[in-house]
Amino acid sequence: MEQPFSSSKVTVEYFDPHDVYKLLAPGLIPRLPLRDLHWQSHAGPVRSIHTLHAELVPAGTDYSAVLSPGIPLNPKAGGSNPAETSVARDDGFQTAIVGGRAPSTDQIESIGATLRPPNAGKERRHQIPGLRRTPYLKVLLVRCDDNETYKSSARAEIREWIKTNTPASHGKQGSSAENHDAFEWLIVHVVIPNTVAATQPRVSGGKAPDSSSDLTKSSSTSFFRGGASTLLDKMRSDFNSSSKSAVDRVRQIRIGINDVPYDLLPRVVPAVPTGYQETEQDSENAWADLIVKFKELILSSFDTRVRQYEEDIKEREGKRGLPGWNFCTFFILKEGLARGFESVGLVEDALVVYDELSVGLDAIIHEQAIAGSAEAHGGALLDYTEELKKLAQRALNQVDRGRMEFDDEEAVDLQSGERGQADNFDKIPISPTKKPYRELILANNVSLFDFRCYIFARQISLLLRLGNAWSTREELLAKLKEQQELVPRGVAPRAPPPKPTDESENLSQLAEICRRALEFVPSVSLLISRDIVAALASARPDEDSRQQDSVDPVLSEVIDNIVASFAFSVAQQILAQTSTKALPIPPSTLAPADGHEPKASIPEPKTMMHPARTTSLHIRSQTGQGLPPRSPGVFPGPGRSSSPDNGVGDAFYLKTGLEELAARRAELYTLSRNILDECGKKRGWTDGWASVPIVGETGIADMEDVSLDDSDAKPAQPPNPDAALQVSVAGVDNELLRTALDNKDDFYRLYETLTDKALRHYTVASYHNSVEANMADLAVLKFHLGEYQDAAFFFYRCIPFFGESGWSLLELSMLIMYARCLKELRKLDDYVSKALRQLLSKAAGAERDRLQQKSVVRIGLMSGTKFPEASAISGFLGDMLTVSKSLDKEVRIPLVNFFCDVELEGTTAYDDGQDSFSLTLSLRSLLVDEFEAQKISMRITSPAASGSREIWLQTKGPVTIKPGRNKIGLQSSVLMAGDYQVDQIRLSASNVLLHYERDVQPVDRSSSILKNPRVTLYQRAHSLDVRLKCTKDVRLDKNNTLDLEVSTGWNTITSCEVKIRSATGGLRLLMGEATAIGLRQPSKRTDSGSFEFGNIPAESSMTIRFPFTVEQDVLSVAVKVEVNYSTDRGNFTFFKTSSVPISLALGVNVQDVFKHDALFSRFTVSTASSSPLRLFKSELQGSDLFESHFGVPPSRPILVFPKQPASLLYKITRKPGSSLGPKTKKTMYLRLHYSVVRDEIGALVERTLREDLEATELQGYSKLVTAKVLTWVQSGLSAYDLEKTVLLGELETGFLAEVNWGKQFPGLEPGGKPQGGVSVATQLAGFIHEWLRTHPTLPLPDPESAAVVQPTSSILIPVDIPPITVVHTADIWFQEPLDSVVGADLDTGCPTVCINQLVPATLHLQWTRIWDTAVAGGSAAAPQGKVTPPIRSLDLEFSYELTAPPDTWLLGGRRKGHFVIPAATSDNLSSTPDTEADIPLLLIPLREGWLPYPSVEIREVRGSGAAGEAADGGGSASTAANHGHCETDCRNLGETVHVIADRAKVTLSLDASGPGGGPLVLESERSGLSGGRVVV
Amino acid sequence: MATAIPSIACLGVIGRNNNPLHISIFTSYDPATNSFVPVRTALQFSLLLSSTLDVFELRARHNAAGGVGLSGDFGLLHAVDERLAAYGFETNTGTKFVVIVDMRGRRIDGNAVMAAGEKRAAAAAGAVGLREGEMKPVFKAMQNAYIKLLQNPFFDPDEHSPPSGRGGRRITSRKFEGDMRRIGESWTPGVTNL
Repeated sequence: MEQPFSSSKVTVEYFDPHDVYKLLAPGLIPRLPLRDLHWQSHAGPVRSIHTLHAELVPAGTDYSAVLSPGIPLNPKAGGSNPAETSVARDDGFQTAIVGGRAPSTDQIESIGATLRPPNAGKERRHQIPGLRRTPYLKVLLVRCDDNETYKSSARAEIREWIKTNTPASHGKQGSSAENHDAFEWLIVHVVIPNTVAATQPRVSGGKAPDSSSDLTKSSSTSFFRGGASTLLDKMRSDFNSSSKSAVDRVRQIRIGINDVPYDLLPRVVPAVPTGYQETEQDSENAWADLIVKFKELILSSFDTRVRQYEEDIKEREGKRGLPGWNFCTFFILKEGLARGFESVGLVEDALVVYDELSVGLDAIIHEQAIAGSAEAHGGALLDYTEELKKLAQRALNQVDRGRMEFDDEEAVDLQSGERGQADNFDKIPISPTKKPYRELILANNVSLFDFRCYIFARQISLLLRLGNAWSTREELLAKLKEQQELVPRGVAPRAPPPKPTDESENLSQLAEICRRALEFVPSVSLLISRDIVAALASARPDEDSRQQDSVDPVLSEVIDNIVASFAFSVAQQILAQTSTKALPIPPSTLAPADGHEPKASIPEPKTMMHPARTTSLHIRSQTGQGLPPRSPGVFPGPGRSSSPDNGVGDAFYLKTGLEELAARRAELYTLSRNILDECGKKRGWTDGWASVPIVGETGIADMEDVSLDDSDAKPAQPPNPDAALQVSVAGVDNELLRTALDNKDDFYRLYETLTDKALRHYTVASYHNSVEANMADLAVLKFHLGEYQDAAFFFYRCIPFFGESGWSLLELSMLIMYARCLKELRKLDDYVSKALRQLLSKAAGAERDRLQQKSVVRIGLMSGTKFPEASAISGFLGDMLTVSKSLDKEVRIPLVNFFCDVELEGTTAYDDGQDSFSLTLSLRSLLVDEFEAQKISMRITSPAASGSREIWLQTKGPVTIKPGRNKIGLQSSVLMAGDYQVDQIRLSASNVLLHYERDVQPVDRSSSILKNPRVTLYQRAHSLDVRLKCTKDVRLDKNNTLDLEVSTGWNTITSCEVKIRSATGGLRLLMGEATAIGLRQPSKRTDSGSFEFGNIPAESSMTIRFPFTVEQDVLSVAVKVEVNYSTDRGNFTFFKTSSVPISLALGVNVQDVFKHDALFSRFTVSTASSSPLRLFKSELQGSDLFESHFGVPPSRPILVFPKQPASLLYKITRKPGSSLGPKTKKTMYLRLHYSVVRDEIGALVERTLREDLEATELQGYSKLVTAKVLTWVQSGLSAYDLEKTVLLGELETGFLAEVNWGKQFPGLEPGGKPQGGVSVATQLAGFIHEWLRTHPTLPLPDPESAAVVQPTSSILIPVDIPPITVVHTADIWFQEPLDSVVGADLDTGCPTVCINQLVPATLHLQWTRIWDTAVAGGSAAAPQGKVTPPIRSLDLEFSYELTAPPDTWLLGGRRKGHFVIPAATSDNLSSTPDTEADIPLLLIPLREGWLPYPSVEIREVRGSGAAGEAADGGGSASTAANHGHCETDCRNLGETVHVIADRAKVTLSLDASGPGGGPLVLESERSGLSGGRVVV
Repeated sequence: MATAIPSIACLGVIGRNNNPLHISIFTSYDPATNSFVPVRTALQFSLLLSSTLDVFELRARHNAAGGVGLSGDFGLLHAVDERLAAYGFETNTGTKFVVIVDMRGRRIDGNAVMAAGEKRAAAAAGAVGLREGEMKPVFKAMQNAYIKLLQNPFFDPDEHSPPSGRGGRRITSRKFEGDMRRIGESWTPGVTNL
């Protein structure tokens, strides 16, 4: 068991004929609370009883008197102890005397009569056994100084006592009544020092034998020793029964000589000292033995009793179904058991019994109610309670009188006159001793109300014991102390008094008390009202019928008052009883009493919840003794008589159950407060909530009606006269409540105090929601009372809490009040930025919810949720706008807070005749007021990655935003085609900016508030436009240029500025070199790419051409163009970023063949893309040095396919007479005129489309359509398609039909159905489909027809003639006439020779230096150097070598040799016959067949000259490493010599006699060449 | 004399994030004016509901610690004053149902449609006070209504109790509201099926 002290008390009766108790007491009392008893219940586990208080009562005393204060327990010590007054007559449950008021004596007297148990068994036994409190143990104190006395008188006395006190047959066979009072008896022999008895040795060394066998043995030994049995032995043998099972009932205690008062000490020491000395140990053992015996016997009798009770209960319960069964009787019986348990300290068991009883009562009532008649079963209870009836009647009288006379005085008098009785009800409504409940129950004379109160009171008191509440403990301690004080003075106690251990309360049990109270209050309140109604009904039976119909308002008022008062009292009582120091409650945040000074901030909840020990002590010392802290003056309530913390020491900080207890207590406080609140309501003193601008109730709409500044102002609810009459304090008996209801100030003070207490308790209990709720209560109260400072503080703390968790209704109301507070306090900044902003946002949010709900739920059905009505919030917006002006900072509020259903309505609207457009923004204002927005702007941005393209749209002027749906036209004169999304919306009104910014990446689509944010802008056909083109004529050796064409469309431009900027990385626009082509020249231009123009008429254009460079090869470049122009209609801006491909459409390869006097160049023209090319014309432009020759040009343009390049051959000759100088232009240019078929197709499609669109009403969209179609054309045509198109001469448009045209024009679709309900996009798609249907093929224009001027492109390719230093020409001539069998080969020119014929030939070497066009070394290679003269001016040495495969030719003559070519001079560029070399050769063919000529290889000889074998005159061999290379033109290359066998006739033998089995040549005849020799 | 019997003063559904999902307020009989008026303002009921959350939290913690409480019925949460008492129920998804009972909300004779048996049962309840089990049918009915609501494919629970743990929207279902209203109006002590 947890509690170190229990107030259990059993009565031990002692009979003290020799007046030795006073000797015994000093030793006995300090040992007395019996400790550690273990009771083995026959059903259930062993219960251990930690302490058991035994009440020592002299025999023959009236038990009730013994327990009651009047009679001293001890004649000597008693009578003067005032502490005893607190000991109640009953059984120690004095918890109820919290009010410091002991039950009056007369009451006790009246009860005493019935409670008095039979004295010495002579009195009449009550039929219900549960009532008696009889001793569990009877003790006979015997003083017997020597054996003689024993024999003569003592033995007889003892016999007599036993006879009178022991039941004739105790134990099992006893009757049930006896068993209810079962007790045991014990004889204690008190031995006084200096007597004979004292000298007798203890029989068994202080150890009392428990069995008779032991006894006999020890007595025999004593015989041996002393010769005579000791007194103790005698007693044992005399009075212990002889049976084996009998219990030893004799004990001896020797009193030490020092413990006996002098006057009692016998002077005469007995003559025969035995020498026996009582040792300390012996004495101790004797005492212990005695105590053990006590315990044993008490438990034994207790067990008997419980057994009997349980049997009885079982029996009674079994009879439950029988008629005539009475619950009250049963109750008393069962309660007896509970009390039994209680008395031995088994409080929990007792509580269980009471709980069972409570449930039983419920069941009975329930059954009765169902059965409809009270008499049905279990015995009737009274219909009403007499006290309540009186109370009600008195109150009624009071009201009646008050009504009649309006005389308050008298009412008060009346009240005070009967105060004495009322008090009881007031202070301690729940006490088991308030009324003789048990009597009443027993007499079947109890009302349900009383019954319940009693059970509850008992439960509470048991719980208080369990919880070790201070009240209970206090009392126990007092009792203990008092017992100890009874010990005679001057006698030192043998045992030291037990130290008061540190007490800790069981907080969980205390919490349980509160919990039960919380359940009890509502149910009993119900009972009271029924009770009173029944009482009055019975009093006025004639009025019964009338009462049935309607409730008398006065009566109901009185009932309400009584109920409230009772409930309030109960709550206060329980609060007082459960207050504990272990519950650290933070100090109040409320200022004392007047509460006008600014409050310190509420301490952080953290520190409050876990206070350090010192802190909690500190707090306690601050708040003084009173825990719970009571408010000064007003709170007379449940004070405690004494301060608890004097001796007990520090309170413990107990976590277990702490929160629970705090919460429960807080709930009790809240309960009290709510009761108070309800009472106050009737008097028109509201807690403020009633006058809160409850957004949602239209009645309290107008804030201005509630006067906030005036604290005296009665809140709304003007009481009608009738209601005023009803308001009365009659029946309110609780003093505190009455005081509070007396006037308004007290009411509010108490309200505040209670709320604050609840708040603090909740804080400890970490009930966050409740804390906030209480704070809200306080805030509203303060607001109501006009204490704005405090109110603002509380609002500030609790508003976010409710806001976060979605209690928007609460939040909204409080925000309104908060805003008021701040306004009152002139905190403008906070007012705007915190309160108003939030308030409006929340209101708007609620409005949005309402809208949503509206769309779901039809209105008309009453909806449970209330939504803010306009009236409560109206005006705040204007306030905010006005106040915001005075702020220096702009107030930014998200647009979403105030608006919903933001969307773009319809499509883009374009203005006719000018390049501007407008969008319609539709939004729904959730605000209740209208306001004027000075400026509304919207930004649309293009999601395209290429740079941030954004356009701002604006309203033209201030716009008034009304509640509900607004449409705002936004205009922009900036045009930039493309797809856009709305990105930002800004709405500014005075200093408030409402803004919306699109998330960069919206998390989910539904979260985006802006519906339909897409905008497609396109250029109309007649708007100003800019086209960027690559220049048609390309020069490869110069920077490429771009053409920018600005066409004005329908704009008559007065001034215009064109800005051109690069939009591709690495692209540099060389604006310095830009030129304006055409008539219009810019009036002003800068190098940064800005051109200004003056007047430009409509429908005209101008072109700006500018070169560019790119850092790396790119396929296309993009250029940003911004045109700011003004017309007579205003200023406009046009942006466009265009991109053009800059890759070349064709590729050209060249192959050069050098001859002695001409160069043949072959140009291979191939297409660079998959598209075929048309090559119209080619031209190789000559230079200063060279001229070109071409054959007959082709009659038709050449088609160049990807796999079929065109080849152009030019013959280039050096211009005669041209000389090479440093300035001489050597580069030739190849100009090609071509067109790309793909472009042709594009142009074709565009032209046809535009022409066809012109005929329809969609012509405004022609630019959009053609651009869109063209992209598909470009991407949709494959190489095969192109080839086919070219070959067939017509384009099949079938590939375009697969495109889903309906989807190609986003941004034109939504909303707008301008023409005949068909959206523009659909119309456009329809048009394209129609167009495709009517144009299955498009004929490509004939490139030759003059009608169509093809926009051919041209390209100018510089052609450099590679410089060749020397071109050699080697030629081998056979010497003529060639001696041949065949004769001269006239036809082929191919000489025919025989094998082995000696053919004389000449190697002719020519050279020329005309192709050495390299720039003179002086200028090119080494600018300043005269060191290396140009190669041209050097003599060059070459070597030649004639080689032939060794099996074809046998070469004779000089096969290798060196020769020197002299330095070139102007007139000596080529070899002359003088400088040509002729080298004679002799060639012998070795094989038959067509043999190629021997090859000649000419190489330059490098190195310092001497290496040459046969240098003709070449000493000055060039050492220049850098001289140019040479080319050799072998003229014999590809020529052959026909070699035939030299035979005229051959004779063969056909047998296989030849070598190897072959035919044998018998004879052959040579042809016999005439001139030649044949080497065999 | 009319016997006052308990009636429902307010039904509240509180979402997982401790946000109010639904609040229905019912009138009680006011003997002073002999009319039916709500005993508290909507705001006060809101506050009361919000205060019960602490108890929910605490009980849930205890239940979790004790491994009990599968039923979700938390019984009496809070005795507001001698008239009002709050009872609570928590589903296993954290949705909380709160019933605030007005102990004197009706007069027994005022309601003629009640059957005699019911009347007596109600009277018994009036006599004894509400027992623990009395609220079970209410919670059961509320839960059924809520389940029906959840079964609506157009009802998105996440919208009302976002997983983010903050806030949430109110229930706007008309049917649910109707159910609540029916439950609140038709309950009397002793009714076993709603």
